[in-house]
Amino acid sequence: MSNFEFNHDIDMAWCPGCGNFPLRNILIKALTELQLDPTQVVFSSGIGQAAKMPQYVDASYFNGLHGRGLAVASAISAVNPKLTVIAEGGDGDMYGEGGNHLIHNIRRNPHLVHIVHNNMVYGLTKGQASPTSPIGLVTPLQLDGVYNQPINPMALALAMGATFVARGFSGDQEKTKELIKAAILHNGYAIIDIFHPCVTYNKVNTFAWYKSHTFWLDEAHPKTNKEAAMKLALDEERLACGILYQVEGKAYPQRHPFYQGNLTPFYQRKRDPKDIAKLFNKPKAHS
Amino acid sequence: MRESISIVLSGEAGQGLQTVEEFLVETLTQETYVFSSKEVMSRVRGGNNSVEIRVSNQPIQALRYTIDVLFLFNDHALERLLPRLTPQTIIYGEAPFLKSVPSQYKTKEVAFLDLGKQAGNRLYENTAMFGYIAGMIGASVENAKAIITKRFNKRGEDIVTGNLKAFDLGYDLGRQDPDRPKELKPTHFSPKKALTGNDVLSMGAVAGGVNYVAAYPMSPGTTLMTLLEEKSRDFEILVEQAEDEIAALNMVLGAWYAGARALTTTSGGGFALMTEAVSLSGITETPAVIHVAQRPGPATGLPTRTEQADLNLVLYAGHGEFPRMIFAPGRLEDGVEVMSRAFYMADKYQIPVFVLSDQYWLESMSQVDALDFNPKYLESFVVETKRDYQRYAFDKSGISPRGVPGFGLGYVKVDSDEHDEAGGITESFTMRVSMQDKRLHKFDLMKKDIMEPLISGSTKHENLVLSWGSTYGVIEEALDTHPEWDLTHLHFIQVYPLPESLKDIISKAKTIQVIENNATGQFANLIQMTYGVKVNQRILKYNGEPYHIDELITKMEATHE
Repeated sequence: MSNFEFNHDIDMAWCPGCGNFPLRNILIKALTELQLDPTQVVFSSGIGQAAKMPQYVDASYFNGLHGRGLAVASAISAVNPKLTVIAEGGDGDMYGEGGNHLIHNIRRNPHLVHIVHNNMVYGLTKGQASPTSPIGLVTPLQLDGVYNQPINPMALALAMGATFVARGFSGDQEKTKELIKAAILHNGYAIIDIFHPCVTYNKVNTFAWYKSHTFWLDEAHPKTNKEAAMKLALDEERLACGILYQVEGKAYPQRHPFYQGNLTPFYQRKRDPKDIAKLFNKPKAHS
Repeated sequence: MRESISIVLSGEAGQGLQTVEEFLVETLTQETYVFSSKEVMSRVRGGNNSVEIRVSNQPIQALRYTIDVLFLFNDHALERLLPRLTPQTIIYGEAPFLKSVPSQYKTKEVAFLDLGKQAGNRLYENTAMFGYIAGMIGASVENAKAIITKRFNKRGEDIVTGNLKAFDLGYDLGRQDPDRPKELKPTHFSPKKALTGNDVLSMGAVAGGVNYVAAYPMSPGTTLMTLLEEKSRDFEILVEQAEDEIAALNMVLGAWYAGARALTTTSGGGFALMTEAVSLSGITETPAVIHVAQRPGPATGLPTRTEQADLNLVLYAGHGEFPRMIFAPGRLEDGVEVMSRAFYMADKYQIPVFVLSDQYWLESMSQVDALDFNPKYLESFVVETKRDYQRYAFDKSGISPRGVPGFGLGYVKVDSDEHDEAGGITESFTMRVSMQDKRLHKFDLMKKDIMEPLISGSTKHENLVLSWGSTYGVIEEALDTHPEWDLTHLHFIQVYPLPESLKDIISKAKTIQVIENNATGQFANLIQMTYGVKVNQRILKYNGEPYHIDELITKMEATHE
């Protein structure tokens, strides 16, 4: 069994010093430590530098459209609930273009992990503001600084009723890796917003900035307490990392009446022509 | 000789027009030829809606503009229908509903409400009306009562008895009506099934193996989703209401990728939102089945009306160049065939396949002797992957075998960027050309699977009438009643790609006429482009209604003067 690492050189499209490199190491370690079978792991991503992650991990993937990684991922996990499904992308991809899918998949609670690389800026389109850029950030497009209120993904996820809400930082590899493992083991939708620096376009939210503005929750944090979690999520001065909130809940396969406890992947479900023939004899419900 | 009666019911949404329609059509389909269609306003309650039930002694699948018999359900049900009245039209209704009828028209008061009350409940008034109409046209009492009983059985014996009594009261009056129309009974007739386009598409989807549906509600595309939800327990179909159409088609692609046979259904506006994902289906070679139920645009247009104006949208949707197939059902059996075939072709060629219907076709009830399905369309083309599996391998068959994640030892790597055989992003110009050639080569492979059009009328093939989709029935009737026109009718069920085999007929024809339910002649343009010919005449209609037989004959006659 492969350990998700390639056995050949790959030319990664990230800038030297990019936070995506340590994130890749973290991800591969988390998957390996959980002893997952790579043929049972699927990534779904959109467009952006973060969305290229699946290219550099040896597992199946669907690298689709900008913003749509979560929509595709939720269908993959619905059709084969036995797979480990990871939707991964950046803040622009997942919070901007894909904002509607974020809101509604929290409602749907699909069994998948949602990893968002949050560097508070656009990379692949060259430095414009992202939905998480702080007010005042000067960019090639926001010459006088960002004037729109940034999205608060943790508070949003909590308000929508997500059952696993966590924040990591690529500078704290060991702890962030443990978050990913916990998210994979969680039943239902698990969001991890991971801070990491963009060395090319964000000169404000640097490695040092994240270091000094974040702290890690310890065992004392009551992670099943939504009010406590919301208080942490709303604190934009001291940014809490760790599992802000986690409770048991019914995931999509336990909610949707289709399954009735049967998680057989769709490719194994076959339709019997004899049943179709019955429908053709009596096509109307009341006939 | 072909004769018909057009019976129209007119009232508000929620007044029970549809119940009377279903009772009548289901009764009559046991004994004669019948076709019905409704036109409704875009509102939940009130307004004015109408249903036409057309009865004939010969097969029909078309409406008539002029009304023979009109039933009013309220005092404001006439105004919109005035242009459709003739001096022969007889208008029925409760006394107050007839007050506004201009004096030149014949009216006849019938107290349906009282008949309902006499039978035990005012709610039985519609069943009394059903009885009256059944009596007028001489429908079988036995058939009618069997249908009433079946419909109300679950609600208890009293309700069944009451409705049967109301039927009898109405029937006796209708039977004694001195103005009742001549009875039209075919000499030979075997009972038929009466179904809507929506019914047959849902059956076709089941026969094509659908097991995942993601869609966002939009008239008139929603009913298909509802009918599949109703079948979801019996056939293991997962139905999910998506947050928007963008999600719907992306979810459908994710579902096919993971091993489902997935469908989305929408109308033009919703489909416009899906176009980026159509392109994604193209480059990732992920199958998709997309039902687009046309209604008049642009934008919100006429939400509850009909049109055939989204052919260009579906034909050109999605950036870049990639193969696709488009079907447009005309007869009921076409609905089953193309919807099940769509799943098979999508799977076989790894392309987006469209079923392009319209409001009129979906919501009309027409007849069929029996419907059958082809079990071949259940065949899956998914392969079990080996360790060295490459999703986009250059296979000698021309199509890269499609694996699904979790089935086999390989990885299934799918990319919206241009990719290499393994599915990794590439910017190699050589690889780009090879991959694009591989995808476009499917156009050649698909040629052996293109459906030929239905051909009828003159065997001389000199003067052609071309059409597609829902106009089949009305054009067939026009040609059938006017053999002197000497026209050959080519009706396309597959509208893209078009068969090369027709090049001969089309290029040798003296005249080509194209009849469409749109304003510009989109199919005519496609014919010109495909076959390099000039279409001589376009007959077009775009007011939001389907063609009526009398209207179409007048338009076609004008072209023969």
